[in-house]
Amino acid sequence: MDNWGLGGYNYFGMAVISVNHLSKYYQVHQKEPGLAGSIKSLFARKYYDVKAVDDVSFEIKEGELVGFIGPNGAGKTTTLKTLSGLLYPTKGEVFVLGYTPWKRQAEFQKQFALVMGQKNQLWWDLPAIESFILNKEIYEVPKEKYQTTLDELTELLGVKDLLKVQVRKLSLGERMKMELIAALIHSPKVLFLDEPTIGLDVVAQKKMRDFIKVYNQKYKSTVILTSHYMDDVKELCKRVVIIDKGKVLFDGLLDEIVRKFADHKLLSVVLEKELTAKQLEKLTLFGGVKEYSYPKLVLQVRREDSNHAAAKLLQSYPVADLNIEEAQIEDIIREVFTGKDVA
Amino acid sequence: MDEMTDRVNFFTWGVVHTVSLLVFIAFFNIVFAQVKEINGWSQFQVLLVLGVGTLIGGIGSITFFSFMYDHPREIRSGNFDFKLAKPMDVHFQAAFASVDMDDLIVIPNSIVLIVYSLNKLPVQNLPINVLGFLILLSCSMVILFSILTLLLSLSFRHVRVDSLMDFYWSLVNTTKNPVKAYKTTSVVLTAMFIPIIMISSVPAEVLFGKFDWPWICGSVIAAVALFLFSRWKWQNALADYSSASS
Repeated sequence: MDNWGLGGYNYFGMAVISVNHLSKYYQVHQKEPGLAGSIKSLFARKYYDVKAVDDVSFEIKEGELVGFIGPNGAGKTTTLKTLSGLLYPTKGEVFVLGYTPWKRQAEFQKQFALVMGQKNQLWWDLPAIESFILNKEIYEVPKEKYQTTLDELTELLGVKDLLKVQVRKLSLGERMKMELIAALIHSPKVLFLDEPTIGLDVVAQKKMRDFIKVYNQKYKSTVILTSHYMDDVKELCKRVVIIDKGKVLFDGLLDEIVRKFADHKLLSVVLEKELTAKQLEKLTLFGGVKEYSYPKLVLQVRREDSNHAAAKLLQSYPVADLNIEEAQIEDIIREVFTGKDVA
Repeated sequence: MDEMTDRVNFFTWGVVHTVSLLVFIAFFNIVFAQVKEINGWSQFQVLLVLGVGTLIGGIGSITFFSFMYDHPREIRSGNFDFKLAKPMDVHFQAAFASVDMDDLIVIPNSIVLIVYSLNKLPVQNLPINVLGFLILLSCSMVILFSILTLLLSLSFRHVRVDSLMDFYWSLVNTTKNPVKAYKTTSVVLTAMFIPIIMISSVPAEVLFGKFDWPWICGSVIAAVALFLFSRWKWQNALADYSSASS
């Protein structure tokens, strides 16, 4: 049944997005380099299968802001595109707001928005306001509602004075803000943000993050965010889904990543005196020396040994200050992707 | 609309299109300085076909010809994603998302040529002819649109269809010639000429008062059948869309 017979909503557990065993495979052809390779590929083409998304399942509840993280080619964007109905899956079942996305029913399409940081939906040679007006018509937004939403969004993003400027004359940050307004003009219930901060400077990234946070809290919209910037994820998402090679590696609270993947802690020490070569050598008994640059010393120790190692250090070394820290999320995730031990 | 932002380019296009039409007219004048008619087609009947073919090109430009260039580009870049995500008929959006206002001058130019040619021809019952012409002109546009849709639906699977777009553009340009005047026994050429004849020669004939009913009925049926078939093909081809990597 298309929308579960409930007017487009899934009332079973309030999951706005439900993905069950989703897979999307592509066939990609390989070409040898050079002219000979080009000629050969005309007649004897070699194909290989790419499992862009491989048996992915998760659920997202109303109002959640979930971070979707993974390296390039992990399958994040393909998943978002399938959830938006742009791609037909190879296998699996997906419901967004109770609809099957790739059936592309207008009632469904009016309730979500897709923002892609690397692509433009605005008319390049016209002012952004022209694109907003077009979207107003496409999404059948009443005139008053359109004006209120536009005023509110332009105010929040600080771009009121730029509405009548040609899009190509705007900076990347300003253009991204306009892209967001174009996507939100119909007040979608579900928002897919695919790397919305890519290429932005740190100030613009921060503003964008603040806006997404406020928007999510104020409108209780359900948001999936993909980003390569861990600051985006740390600041915005309580829950993250880690995906790599098309498979979900982790789905849970951001804090749980540390517990699940990091079996080490960091002892961050400020020394009173520079260490001798012998003292340095003995440090290996505690764990690995991650960094030593007097007066700073960072040791990587097994999670269960951290308290004991800290006590020993305080006893045997000239320690001015000592902190036991969890490993940085960035490091954990990077090392999860590279398959190394996590610290 | 954005073509009007760059004024110099916009007005230059106006001059280019006008000169191009004048060259066509000069060519036919040279031909008809040597012969009185071509297989029963007089000079002003031929100029009328030229006017109708040009008008069709002009209407195509301000309606759906941008589809020809924009769609394969959007498929390659993945920007077609935004069209698929919107609550609007994807085919309609893709075809009419942008119009080529650079070619705006083509329409008044062609109307002047049509009116001039009609003045030189012994036409009777002009209002009825014009009504019939408008109906057939609509069929011509539908036929052209459907052929373009069929060709472009291949881009979802094959991505690059530049050669087919060149073929389509040749077909559009051929409509400026009185193809019905060419006599050939080749089945292939006849098959290729049929849509071109339907698109420009048949409406032009109706305008100067020649009602060739088998061709007229054929045009109407072809327009409806081709439109329905191309819509069906397009909707099915959408499943092959694989977007582009970000």
